[in-house]
Amino acid sequence: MLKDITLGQYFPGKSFIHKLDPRTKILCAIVYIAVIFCIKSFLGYFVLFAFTALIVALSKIPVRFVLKGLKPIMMFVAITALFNLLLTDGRILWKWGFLKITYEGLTQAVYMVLRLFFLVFGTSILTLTTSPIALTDGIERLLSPLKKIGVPAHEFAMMMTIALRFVPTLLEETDKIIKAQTARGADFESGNIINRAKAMVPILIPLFISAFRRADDLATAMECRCYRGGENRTRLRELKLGYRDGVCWFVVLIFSALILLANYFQVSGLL
Amino acid sequence: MIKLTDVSYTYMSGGPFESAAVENVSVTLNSGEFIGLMGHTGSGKSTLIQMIAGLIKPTSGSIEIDGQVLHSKNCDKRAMRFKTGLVMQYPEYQLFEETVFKDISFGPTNMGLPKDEIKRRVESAANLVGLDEDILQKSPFELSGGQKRRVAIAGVLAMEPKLLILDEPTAGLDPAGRDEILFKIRDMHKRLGITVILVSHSMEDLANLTQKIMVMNHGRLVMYDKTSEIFKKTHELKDLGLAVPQITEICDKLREKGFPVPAGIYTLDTAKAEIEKVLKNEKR
Repeated sequence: MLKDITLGQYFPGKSFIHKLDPRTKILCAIVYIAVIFCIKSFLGYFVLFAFTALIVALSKIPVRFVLKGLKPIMMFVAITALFNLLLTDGRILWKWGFLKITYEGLTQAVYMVLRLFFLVFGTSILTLTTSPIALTDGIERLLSPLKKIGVPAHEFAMMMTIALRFVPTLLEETDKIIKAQTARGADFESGNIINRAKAMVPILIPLFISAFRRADDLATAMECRCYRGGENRTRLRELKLGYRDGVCWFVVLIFSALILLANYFQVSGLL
Repeated sequence: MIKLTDVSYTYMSGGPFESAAVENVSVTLNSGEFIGLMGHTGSGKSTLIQMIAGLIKPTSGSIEIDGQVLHSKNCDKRAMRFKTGLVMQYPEYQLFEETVFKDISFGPTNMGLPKDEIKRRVESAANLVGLDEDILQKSPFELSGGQKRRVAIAGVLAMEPKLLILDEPTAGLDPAGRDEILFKIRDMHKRLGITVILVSHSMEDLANLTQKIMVMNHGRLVMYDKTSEIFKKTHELKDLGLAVPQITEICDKLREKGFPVPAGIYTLDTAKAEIEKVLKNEKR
């Protein structure tokens, strides 16, 4: 049940996308997200869709797996769409009592849904093709210029590595605790909201206790191995930009330009 | 009676990390028996017992307990859950209440029992695992590791299940503590006539306690027989990365040297009797 969460899960592979430098991927993901919010026409979304499809095809990750990442946000998307649909003022298309659907609301809702979908797609392709370690390495390198003004880039990266590393561990732990309490007759499915919240106590307390214990153990283990921060630390795998990163930037910039251009070529029938 | 028919379980099915934990296990376990379950790490023991306890649903196959098919439409999940008690590996992480008493009473309270019955059960369960009365009002987090383990086991015993499943209940306990807990469990099995499934890596414990043993290897059930029959198969067990009790090994070595000691001896008492017999015959 808990293991079905795709968001933030690495899918090992050797594709073009997998081999890209993590810095390239992170920055491209940021550009991608920025572009999503600049789109003002359906044509733009069409170009974005073509670009996303190209990346998914290149990454050789089963489409089914990428789509699974959408499942956890479905509820959120549905609510957002509903609110936008019903609460936007404008030209009224349909009305029933106090409920109304406007032309503007309809387009707004469709835009929101598309934006959220593409946001999840973009970020899940980043995390699916980049191992957590490469990801934090990339972040550390990207942030390292900020060290000069006192930003602890290495410590940030280390904290992120540790946090990411413990996500599966804690999920597994939660699964185990839920099973143990279920075996003792705990009921998480019935009752009103207050009862259900109360039913979480037997899970949360053991989870917190074990998380603190693990943090303690990890700190001891790191000290035992003489860990003392980022000063003069060398690494096993140095990040290197290659021809692939050049190709990637070229394609990303061309697509971004195309998408932004599409804003000026609005197809009248579709808005 | 517990009847497993072609039970399989696959983790992450369909994904890149798909792996079968249990494959096509079919077996019938009789009520009232003390059954051992062994196999090396990752052989699917824990997955199998979690399926029997109804915590995970088999990917295929069916499990029937006392005529009720688990996960079927007309099966009362909660009633089944209270019939089976599962003590998971390192169960001390399940403790969460303010006092030991409250923690042990979590199961019985969920069963909706009256207050005085809960009190009786908590006290008898605490007594069964050897916890002193004054510990009941302490916080479970102040206790030592061994005591926490006892509290966790008592939490399951207090539900007085008809089928008790224990996944390595004594791993990490000191020798005196483990013997005490195991023999209390054997007492309970005899007194109440419950079915017990014990997962253990200790051949001595399995030899001393069980009537029958299941042996698992790579997700398959490779042996299921009386304890005495299982420990006759020294070579097969060793091929699976398992062992026989030390006393069985000694008797096997003696037999190899030409002493007429029978195969399948697994308790100290029978070994002693057989060796004395041999010695008497030698003297003559």
